[in-house]
This record gives sequence, C-alpha cells and structure tokens, in this order.
Amino acid sequence: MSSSPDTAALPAPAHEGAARFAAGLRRAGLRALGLVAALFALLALTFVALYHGRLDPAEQLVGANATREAYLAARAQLGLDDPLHQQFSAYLGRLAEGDLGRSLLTREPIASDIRRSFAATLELGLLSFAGALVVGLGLGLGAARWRGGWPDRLCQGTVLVGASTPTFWLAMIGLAVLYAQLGWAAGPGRQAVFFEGEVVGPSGLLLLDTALAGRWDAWRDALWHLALPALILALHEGAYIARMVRTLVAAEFGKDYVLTARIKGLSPGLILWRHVLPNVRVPLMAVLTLSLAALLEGAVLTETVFSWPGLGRYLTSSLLIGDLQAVMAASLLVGVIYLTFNVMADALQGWLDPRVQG
Amino acid sequence: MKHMSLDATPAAAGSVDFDRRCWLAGGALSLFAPSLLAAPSRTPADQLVVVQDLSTITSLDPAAAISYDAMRVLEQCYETLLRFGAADGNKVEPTLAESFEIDAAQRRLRLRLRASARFASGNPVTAGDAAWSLQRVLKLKKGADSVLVARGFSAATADADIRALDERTLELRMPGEEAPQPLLNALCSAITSVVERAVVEPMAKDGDMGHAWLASRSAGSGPFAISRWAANEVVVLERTAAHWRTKPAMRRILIRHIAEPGVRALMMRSGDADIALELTADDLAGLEREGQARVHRFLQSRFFYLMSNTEVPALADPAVRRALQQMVDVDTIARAVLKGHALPLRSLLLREAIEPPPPRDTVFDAAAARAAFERAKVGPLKMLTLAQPPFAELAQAVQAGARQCGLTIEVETLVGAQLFPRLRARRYELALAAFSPANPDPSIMTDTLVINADNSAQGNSASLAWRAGWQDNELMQLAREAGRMPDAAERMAKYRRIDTLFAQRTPVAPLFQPISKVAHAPQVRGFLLTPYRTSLVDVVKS
Repeated sequence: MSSSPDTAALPAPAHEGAARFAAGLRRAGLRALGLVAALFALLALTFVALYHGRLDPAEQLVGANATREAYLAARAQLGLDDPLHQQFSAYLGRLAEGDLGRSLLTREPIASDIRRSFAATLELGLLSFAGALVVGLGLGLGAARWRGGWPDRLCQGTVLVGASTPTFWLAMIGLAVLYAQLGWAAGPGRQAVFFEGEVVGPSGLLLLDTALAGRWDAWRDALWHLALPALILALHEGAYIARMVRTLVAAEFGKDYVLTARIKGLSPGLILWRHVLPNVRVPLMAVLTLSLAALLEGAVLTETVFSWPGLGRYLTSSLLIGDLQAVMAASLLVGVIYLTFNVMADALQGWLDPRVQG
Repeated sequence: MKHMSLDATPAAAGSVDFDRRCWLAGGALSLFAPSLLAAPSRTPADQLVVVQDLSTITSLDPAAAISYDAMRVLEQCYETLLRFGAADGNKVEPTLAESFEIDAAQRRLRLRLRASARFASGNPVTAGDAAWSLQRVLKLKKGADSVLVARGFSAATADADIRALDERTLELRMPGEEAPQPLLNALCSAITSVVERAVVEPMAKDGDMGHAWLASRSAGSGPFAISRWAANEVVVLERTAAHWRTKPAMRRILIRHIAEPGVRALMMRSGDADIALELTADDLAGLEREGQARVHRFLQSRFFYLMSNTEVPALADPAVRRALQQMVDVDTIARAVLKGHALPLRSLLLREAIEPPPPRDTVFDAAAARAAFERAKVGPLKMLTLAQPPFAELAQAVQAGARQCGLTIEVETLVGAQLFPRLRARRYELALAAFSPANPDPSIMTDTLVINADNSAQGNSASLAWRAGWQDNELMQLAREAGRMPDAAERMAKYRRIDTLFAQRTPVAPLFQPISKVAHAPQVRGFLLTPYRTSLVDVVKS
C-alpha cells in the first residue's frame, strides 16, 4: 500500500511532536541561561558600583570618633581590605551556599530582613495595584470610549497629576490633609505603634496574619494604615495605566473593523468589550505586568514618607551605610522580580496571541 | 472629515448617564472609604510615644553605642556608676556607686557600690559586673571604647587596671597622668553602663562577649528594658517589674523612627506622638503658636567645623587658614541659614547655655580674607560635606562667602560612610562636618582638636588635628599640662589660654554649636533632656 504524495510530504506526527518539544526545550534552556546571565551581570555591576562608590561600612559600624585600631579591626572583619575580585568571588561563594550574610543595620540575617521587608512591600504593592487597575482601566477605557468628553478630560487631568506630581509630594500632602487635618486616614507606619509586635504571623502580610490570628482590631488598623499609601501609589501607577489604555484603545477605535461593526449596528459598549479589548489585550498585559513589577520593587520615597518598612526603604537605608551584602541581596530580589515578570509577560502574550511565540 | 460619534442613540445616551453616576459614586466611595475605618488617635495615659530619626542606631549594646540616639535609649535601660547632675551638667554625682574616693597620688579611683541596686532580673549589681562591663567595652573595640582609650585605658591592660576588690568595691587604676575629672566624666557616659554579666556572658558566641545578643536586648538595672528593637522602625521599652529605686508612671515607651521632620510634626498635631525630636523651625513655630506643643531647647554637645588639610600646599600657610575662618560670616549664617537652630561658636570650649547669646563675631573679615587669598594665590578648592541637613545649606553659604572673597569652592556632598573614610585617609582639601564630644570636659575637645602626638600615617586617625595633618607642640604641651591640673579654676584658665592660641593657628575652625529643639505635648511633663543626660523615668501625663 502506497501513501499519497500529499501525506508522504508531511512529517510523522510523533516526529513533529518530538521536534517541537526539543525546540521548546532549547528555547527554555536558552531563556534560563539568559536569565542567569542577566542576574550575574546585575550582581557584578552592583558590586562594582558599590565598590567604586567608596562607601565604607566599617566607618558606620564604629563611628567617626573610633580609634584607628577599632576602625581597622572593623575593616578586617568585613573583609574590606581584600581586592575587588576576591571580595566578589567570596560573596558569590556564600551566595551559592544560600548565605546572604548578616545586615549591618539590623544585625539580623539578611534573608529574614528581605523576607520581612518584601512582605510589607508586597502587601502595599498588591493593594496599590488593585487600586491602579480600577483607576487606570476605568479612566483609560472611559477616556477612549468618550474621547473629548468629560471622562477624557478627567483622565487627562488624573494622568497629569498622577504621573507628573512627585509621589513624595503627594504623600506629604495626603498626610497633611487626610491624616493631620481631616483625620480620615491613618498616620505613618504599617500599624499603630501600640500593636507593635502583638501579631507576628507566618506570612509577614499583616492583613493575612491578623485575620488568621482573629485579631480584627489589628486587621482594621492595618487596613486603615494601608489605605493612604496605597491610594497614592494607585494614583501614580493608575495614571500610567490609564494613559496607555487610552492610547491603545483610541487607536483601535480608528480602525476599519470598528467602523464595520458600527455600520452593522453594534452598540459602542459591545464593540469595546467584544472587539476592541481582545485586540489590545496583548500590549495591555505587558503594561499591567510591568506596572505590578514596578510596585513590587518598593517605592522608596513613598515608603520613606510613610515610614513603611518595605524593600525600597531597606535597600536605601542599607546603601547609605554601605552595607554591600544587604544591597546586593535586595538588588537581586528586584532583578528576580523584573525578570520573572518579563518572562510571565512574554508567556502571557504567547498564550493570548500564538503569533508572538514564533 | 467629520468626527464620528459613537454615542448616537438615545439608549446609548441613557447608558452614559448611568455610567457617569456609577463612576461618580465609585469615586466618592473610594475617597471616603478610609474614613469609615478611622479610629481616634491619642496616645494612652500610661504610654509615651516619641518620634525621631533612629537611623543612627545600629546596635543597642552599650559597648557599641556610638550615637546619641543610642545612648538616649540606653540611659533608660541601664545605669552608670556616676552621672551628670540634672541641674548642673558639669557636676558629677553618684548613681550605682554611693560614693567614690581618689587616692592622694591621684592615680587610683575607688568606687563603693550601693547594696540596694538591682538588675531587672532581681540580682544585685556587683563590682564584678561593673568591672566586667568596662573591660568588655575595651576588649570588644566597637568604637565606643574611644571614651576610655582617651583616658589611657586599653584592651591589653583592662584586667589589671579595672578590678573588683570585693562585691561592692571597684578600683580603677588611672593609666595616664591627667587629673581624675575626665575619667569621672567618662564614667557618666552610657557607654560605661553596667550590664549583668550572669545574663550576657552565657550568650557569647565566637568570643563576642554577648555582643550580637545584646545588640537588640538589655541586661541592665534601669527602670525600663528593651522589649523590641527593629532598626529604622521602632524601639519598644517596657517598664521593669520592680525597679530598685522607683516605679515610672509610663508602662511603655515607644520610640518610633520617622525620617521626615514634616511627618513628625504632623504626628504631633494629630496627637499620635507625645514627644518629637528635631523638627524644622517652621513646624516648631506652628505647633507652639497653635498650642499643640511646647518646645524644650538645649545646646547640643556638638559643633560644626570647617577643616582644611594642611598637607595640601595651598592650605599649609597659616595665613590662608586664618583667611578661611575670616571668610565665614557666622552671625548671618546662624540667623539666615540655620534659623536659630545653632549658635555661632569660635572656640574649642563649648557653650553650656543658650542664654546669654554669644557676643558678636569679630573674626569675619571679608576684605582681609580676600587679601590673604590673593597674596597666597589660592586656586579653586574642593569642600566635602555631608548630604544631610543642614550641611548642604551651610556649605552653600560658605561657598557664597568664599566667592565674595575671591575664592572658588566646589562642594561635594557625601554620606557619612563616604565622607569620614576620606577624612581618615586625609584625601580631601576642605571639609565641613560635625564632631560630638562624649562629655563636657574641655580635655575631650583638646584631645581631638589639639593633641596629635604622631602625625605619621600610623597616628591617631580619630583626632581632628591628625586628620588636618596639624601638629602644634606648644599647644599640645599646654593641653597636657591643663589635663594634669587638679584645681578646676586653674585648669579652666589654662584652657582659655589654649583657646586663644588655638583660634589663631588651627586648621579646624569651629563655626556653630547646634541647638536641640524638642516638641512635647503640653500634658507631658517630667522628662529630662540635656546634652549629656536623658531621663524619661519621671514622665507623667497630666
């Protein structure tokens, strides 16, 4: 029995599957290698920048009035007199063993510091992102839907305020008006100082830990403290999302298929939800993913004004005293977050639009 | 081309109205939602909330206490053998020691400890604990030891020089030749706090004498104990079960890290803080005017200085160094730039009180400075300073003054971890920074501003005179003589003579002495805040 010429030209299904799997594996391998190389480059660059920044943690440890003997002893203890390559290879060796070192600022293991500060940033970041989604999608879609109308003007006004006003200033004004003047918002910090250390939970996320502990007074207090910084960050990040959504959606509204749909009698809402949004979902996902990543790296200025013990503030405080190991660990986490979200954005795009995969 | 509207039908218009109402309602709800959760904010009657910048605290072990912020905390949890008087900062009074005596040769100090003194654990405070605590400071070499090293003690001889003769008698052999007063002052410092050996020693790891363990805990005999310390977040102090001398009215003291002065002021306004440290002049004025706070002022044990590196050829000339002092209009800068947060200081003797105000400065002379710079053909200079208030503003003012005198100064702002290593390595031309003497004894000032026995690279890099590369044998001799004088009046006269010569020759020109301004809620009374002593034990809220 002979096969037809058409079917003979096609590869056997089993071979095709294996080849696709191998190609996929190769792509994943290359991607993983790329990620490792990117993280190594990040570590190396951070290390060199800190080394040449001439920040001396020994000085910070013993103080400006310390004797030469105490100062030199601190330098030796921290290994600061070793050459750059030796310090870096020693650091990588410890990192490979999972040892991030001990913070010079908190005197605690850096791994636990990072866990604690990232939990604070994560909690704030997720709530801010939820707010940013509401603000950004709501205003962006509204502005594109009613171009030139008041929703568009509101969107442009919000974008102007949210994107061009420094968050530091917004945070100060927010505290001055909503906290000190009107009493509608909580003051700085993650919780009222009277709850300090009362609820220590497994996750470090106060809302979750207080709920698990059944401490609803502390839960309410934690939510109250989250509200204002989350609002400020949501406004800032939401402005970016709104601008992108407006641009993406407005561009689609000018295309022929929208005109066709309209001629067919479809309502504007239906056109937006059924035709326009599916067409912008790929770039929109990239915008949202990167927004979330930006919120999770820690907002230094907002965290400083609100005394929020998050990752951004931990990194800055460690940097100011020249705590190389803590800065490296925090930078590594920021790098991992960005790269992970980039990979996720790519995967999501591939899933939503198979043309991207090739 | 006509713009096509997508809202053509009446139905669509109706849906727009509905949409708009929903959006407005949503917006209003999201704005007011936090207020639904709002709780009243007032501090409880038995808890004291202090807000300040805690970023200088990197350990709460007395042997590593290198900042005043750390010492303020330690003073609530530990006690020292002696302490400065509340009313007279120069008077030393016994605390854990009930008495002390100095032998006729002035070489031995013997302290008799109180029998009633107890640690937080309930155990008695013994001379053994006191000796071990002082030896520990010297042996750990965590920077705080400089207070005792300056008095001639060292890690090598600590066991021989500091001994417990019995349960209640401690003897210190004074290694140097100076009079006992500087050592008595040193024993008032929180660095020399007595820690409970039986609690701390078992926690030692890798020969650290319990340093890592004690960084965030306390083992003292003070009225409070450290319950929690989270760097750059909070320090929580709890009243100890039964203090041997008194029972504080406050059950807890919560010291919260708030980096922004403006936010600290807002917390005072909202009643979320009882005491706020280091506020801006505008905030203090506002709080005081509106009756929301009272302001307590005291002169800090600290001074800002302009230092020139004499190893730089242009700055080796004493006339140029003098001109660098003459170009700074301290009166105007204190008024316009520092806005009452500092007093002019042209002396190595710190002022003790804000009033009366210092006499008008007579050193500022722009014409003389210009002439000196022209004569010496001084080129542009680079000045290093700290990237924190008020140094950047101060540097700009000095820069502007120099420009009027024909001198170009480029300012480079650095964080402490960058600036001080460069001063230690003498890699700078000019530096604008601050120094904080550990206690009011003038010998502390001459130790750093005058004494530089070894000007080589191996010399004492903690001394400002060494950092400036400056040695003046006559002044050093006078400073050593003053240090040996037992009579206080004669000693002070000698220091005044040193001060006159110092002002004419020094490359380290003191410029200002800052004033601490502490805002406190009107109902908060009973705290003691002086440059060398802080006590919150008697705080009450009326």
